Amino acid sequence: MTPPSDPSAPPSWLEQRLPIGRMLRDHLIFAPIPADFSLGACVEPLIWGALITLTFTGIWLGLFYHAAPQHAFTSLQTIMRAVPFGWLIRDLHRTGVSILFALAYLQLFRALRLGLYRDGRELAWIVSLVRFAMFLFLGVLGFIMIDGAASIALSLDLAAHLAAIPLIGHAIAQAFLGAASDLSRPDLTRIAMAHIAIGFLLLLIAGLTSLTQRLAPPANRDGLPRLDPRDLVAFHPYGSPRLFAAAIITGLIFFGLILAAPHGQSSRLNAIPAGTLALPLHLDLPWYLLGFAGLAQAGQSLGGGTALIAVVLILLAALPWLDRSPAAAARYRPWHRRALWLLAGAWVLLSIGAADPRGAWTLMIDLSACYVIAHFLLVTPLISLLEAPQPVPTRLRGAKK
Amino acid sequence: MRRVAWFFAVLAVSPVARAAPHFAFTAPLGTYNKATLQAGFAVYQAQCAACHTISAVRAGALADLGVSPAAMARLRALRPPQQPAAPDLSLIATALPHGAASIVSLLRVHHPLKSAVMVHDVAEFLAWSADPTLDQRKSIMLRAMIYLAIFGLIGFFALRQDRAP
Amino acid sequence: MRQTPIRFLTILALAFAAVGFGAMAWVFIAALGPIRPAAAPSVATNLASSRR
Repeated sequence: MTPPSDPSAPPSWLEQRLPIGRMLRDHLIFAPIPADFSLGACVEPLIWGALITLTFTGIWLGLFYHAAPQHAFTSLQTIMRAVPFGWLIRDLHRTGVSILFALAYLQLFRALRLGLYRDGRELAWIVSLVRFAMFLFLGVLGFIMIDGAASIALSLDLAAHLAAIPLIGHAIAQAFLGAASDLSRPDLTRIAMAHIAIGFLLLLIAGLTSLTQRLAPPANRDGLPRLDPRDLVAFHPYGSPRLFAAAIITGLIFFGLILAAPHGQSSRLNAIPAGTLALPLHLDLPWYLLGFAGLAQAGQSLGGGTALIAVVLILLAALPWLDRSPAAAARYRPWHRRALWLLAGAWVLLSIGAADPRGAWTLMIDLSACYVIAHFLLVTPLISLLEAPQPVPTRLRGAKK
Repeated sequence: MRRVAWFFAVLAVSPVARAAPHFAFTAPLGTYNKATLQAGFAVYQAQCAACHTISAVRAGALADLGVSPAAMARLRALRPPQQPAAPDLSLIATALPHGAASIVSLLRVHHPLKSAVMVHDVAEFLAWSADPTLDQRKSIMLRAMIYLAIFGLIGFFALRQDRAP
Repeated sequence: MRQTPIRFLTILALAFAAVGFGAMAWVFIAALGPIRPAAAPSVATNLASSRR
């Protein structure tokens, strides 16, 4: 890509009225990126790729989906068997969700490692958390839309957890899950409309995430609050090959999952249509919800579970003010780094335990949930106050040319 | 492209793929055996169809399988039972934890008189009725992956060539 | 100073991208086509009937 040859040439008719070409060049193609642009930095644009895939396949699925009890399950079978390439569009959608959540969890962990929540990036961090919470809620709604036996179990559980919120809980549960007074069966029309409406709203929030991230100091692997101009390079051609490679690798994993395990992440119980006779005894959740299911279980009661999930999300949002260390990136904070790996381990244990919470795993779930809360509330502030970080350079260290 | 093909060839004969030795289609690139599916349909029609429906299966899909109109007419002649006690079998292979292998073990326990070949064939037929697009999915996704790999190499170096030497 | 603004690899990559997007577009447009009919009325009731 070469810059325009003659800058004095008058811009085109459209360009005069809507400088779309200039904006593309300044903010996308030749946008300044830190010289240490790594594969990890590609996660954020790849989330956009996943969102666009989900939006388009979702619109197409919506053309054939009948949001009514008895019909929803049958319409999905029609999509899988009778709509031309319907199976492909549904597999792109349901496997795309797994890809999106894998990227979203990676992005969260990377932000924790590099300190991308502080030093002028607080708003971008909180907006990205709102986006993540919307991913979770949309994932739950989409899972209920399948209208299988596992869907009904999740919707009953969600209704119970929402209704446990004091004062407004029951009204919220009814608003989202339908008018049935006992909430025994979700109103699929509402669920589907919420999934669609919040799905499009999500694109707006994702745009806001990108905007706030663009205006915040550039994310870099040394956690520097501001970068020396010599450490910034143009996205093309210095970052674009790496982003392209990351997209291709993600696409290969994506297609490989569709090839080998198209319903790997969804419950086998959802092959049984929802009905009063088929009510599973335990929740059978997709992997990306398991950590939060573990938190819900560690709350010991319905209300406690709801509160624990809310507390963890709020603590994440409060992280910029809980972390008092002069250095941001974990690579300069040995004890903080170890605590972060403990956090990741606790989250994995929480997820494994929540998949089949029996025997010793209930204790493991409680311990892991305790650490997750303590990590944000105690460990992070204490370590950040007590630990003397290694000297942080003023220029980027790992610049790759 | 050849490297990708080799990778999948090695994967297809690896111990992971041979974990379920009875069903070729459970391998990453394995496909259904059409003769087995036809035999399995015959077993289903003779032994199961009196009580169990496969309501999600399309007539067109059965025709693609080679089921003759006469056979479908015979299936129509079977009266559906008055009491809806017997479950529909369209998606039973997806609902069971090990798919077709689970059907085999269930049938061995509950109907020990049937021959092993019949059990195997009807299990593969029921796996097909739960996932009739498996063959198409595997071939299309494999081609898509080969395309992505080649596109990736070309695009990566095309983008890199704009860097200053 | 390289003077060739458009190179062979670029053209090849653009052609590949066009093929990929074309294939996806074709899939999505084909999905709007006629749905494969459910069992015709004459065909087995126990194939087509939903008993839930």
